[in-house]
Amino acid sequence: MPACPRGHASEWTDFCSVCGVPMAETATGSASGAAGAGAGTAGSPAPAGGQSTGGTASATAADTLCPTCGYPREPGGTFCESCGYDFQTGQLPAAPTVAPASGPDPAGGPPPAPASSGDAPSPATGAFPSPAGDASAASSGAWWATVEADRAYYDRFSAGGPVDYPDQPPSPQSIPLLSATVSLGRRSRSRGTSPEIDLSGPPEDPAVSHAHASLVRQPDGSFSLVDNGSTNGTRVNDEEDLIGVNVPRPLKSGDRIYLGAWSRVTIELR
Amino acid sequence: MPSFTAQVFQNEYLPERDGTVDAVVTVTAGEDVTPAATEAVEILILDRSGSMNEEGGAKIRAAREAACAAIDQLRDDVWFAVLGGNTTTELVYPDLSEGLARSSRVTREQAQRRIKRVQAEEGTAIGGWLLTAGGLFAQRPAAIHHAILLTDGKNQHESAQDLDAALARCAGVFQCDCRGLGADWNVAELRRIASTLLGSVDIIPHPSQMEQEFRSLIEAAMQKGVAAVSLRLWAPQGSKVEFVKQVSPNIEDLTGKAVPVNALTGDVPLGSWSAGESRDYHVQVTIPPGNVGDERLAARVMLMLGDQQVSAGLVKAIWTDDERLSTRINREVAHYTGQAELAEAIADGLAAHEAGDERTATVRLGRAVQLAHESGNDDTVQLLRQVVDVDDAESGTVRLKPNVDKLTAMTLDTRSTRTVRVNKGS
Repeated sequence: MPACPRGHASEWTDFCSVCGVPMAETATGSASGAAGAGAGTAGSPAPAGGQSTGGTASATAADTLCPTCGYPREPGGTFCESCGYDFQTGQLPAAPTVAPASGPDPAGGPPPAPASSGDAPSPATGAFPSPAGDASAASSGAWWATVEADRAYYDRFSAGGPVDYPDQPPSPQSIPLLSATVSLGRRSRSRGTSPEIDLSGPPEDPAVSHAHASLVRQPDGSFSLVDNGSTNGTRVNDEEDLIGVNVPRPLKSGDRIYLGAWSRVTIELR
Repeated sequence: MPSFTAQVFQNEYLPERDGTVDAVVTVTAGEDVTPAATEAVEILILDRSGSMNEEGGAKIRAAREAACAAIDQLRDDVWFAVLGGNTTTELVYPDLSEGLARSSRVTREQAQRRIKRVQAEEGTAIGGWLLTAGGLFAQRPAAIHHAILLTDGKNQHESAQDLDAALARCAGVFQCDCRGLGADWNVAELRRIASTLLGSVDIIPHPSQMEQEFRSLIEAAMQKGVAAVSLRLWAPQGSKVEFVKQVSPNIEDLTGKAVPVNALTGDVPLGSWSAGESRDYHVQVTIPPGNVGDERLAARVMLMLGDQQVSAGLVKAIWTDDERLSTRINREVAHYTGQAELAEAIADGLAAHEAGDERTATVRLGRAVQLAHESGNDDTVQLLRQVVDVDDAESGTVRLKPNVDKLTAMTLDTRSTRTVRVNKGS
């Protein structure tokens, strides 16, 4: 990587990618040319007289003023008295001294870089105010329920009972959890139930109650499970005990809900 | 790779000891930004709260008709869904198990039959509606995601935190144009939703105007050919990006939306674009001042399509002791600074008016008339004339009208951030 007149390693050849000074100090013409080619700069008048002395002037400025805060440099001083800028390495101290007091960003912020190398300036020099919102949370979005048959659960809790494991288990089905309340059960015209997650098959799991349980969206967007007084109860994950009736059970992504003789509903944030 | 251009307008000359650099960046999408190659998802979110039954059911009837008209405008193969929102959210079309429908003559007609059966009842919980839409969009992650949100009321049936949480989850997932029907919704609330979701906000004063509005919104959405354009802004070490604002077609502060790429660089999302579309952005950066004769790069503006840079512009600073150069204010920067002041003057004037402070209201709305007149922002002048009687537009001498109805004030409030481009009227 080329070095700028102040010694920064620059990713660009027209201006320094750290401090913005023109890269070709001794040949101002070529620096302007490179700048002009990369940009549609409009409305800029012709360069003022005295441009050719730019190199000298910059050198003077670098000698007398701190490039980050503009505070006059002590003659021969290694560090800026105001902000602690190191004139030799071009580094600012890791602790913010000149940057605006932007609060730490718990997620998505620039990684802390104390004692960093030349081309990774410390966060204290960041030009941007701390970003609003959490980009990673924003892009993760939808809760889904996947319905399938679970042979292991059947063998553990239901084998030997009145319900047989289906000869042809249903293929897994994914359903987005769109409403604030999503009911699980079996559709019944006579009882007037039409649950969003319908386990009436085929094949039907007859041990599922018509209005068996509900998933209720919480303020943070996750779901809680409530057993609505089902005949055979509801389990979560590998737990032996049934969940309490009408007691909300908070769920996290990946939790498995068991109901009926062999039905498994896995809920996930995708 | 679709073409874009970024053009920078600025006065790069600064007086000694000054480090404030202003520039206007005009971003224009090429004619090759066409929708044909792009997958799109469109979701209509219709308020079906009880208040939609007011005016003898005219609102809900108009909403149904407008939604049907919007559905007619969907091009084939676009993915779509229609949500009915009240205290909870109902998937009007298609069925829950499908999630999104693919547009065809058959599915459009099915959707319209369902829309005609939508009934209004219960309350308003907009955050829940948005989360539901977000879940549906997630089924087609690579597509252009656009929604239209119609409401006639305030978000009363969930907490402000619920709405905030929903907005945080939906930001960046889809773009949402918001429309408020009548005079019972909250301009600030709907503007916040639209801003966060990179969409527009506007008022539909009467139900009869809804159908046309929906038709044109969908038409515009169907033109979008590129999603996820962002403005990557680099500024040097020791500098501070004071703001990044969209200033045309309307004013939208994007500063807080910047996502850091590294310590000196941030990405500002610009949403989706259609062929030939052009928008202006005002960037202000403060950099450590140099000496007379110094030249410095104050900002590098890169237009990004995903990770690909498609255009770039340079914002420079040159310090001079020639006052003829340093005091010249760039025409574009001056114009948009004026348009921003115009929007502020309207907001201040309306707030003072509502608080009963007639003196401040008269001064601020007078200033607004003056600025709107100077810049040739005729639409805004017309809106202001419904609130004040103008004695002299040039000097901003106005008198408050004795009776300003709520609908008129809300219309002015909603449209106060619309700007005109620099050449018009000058």
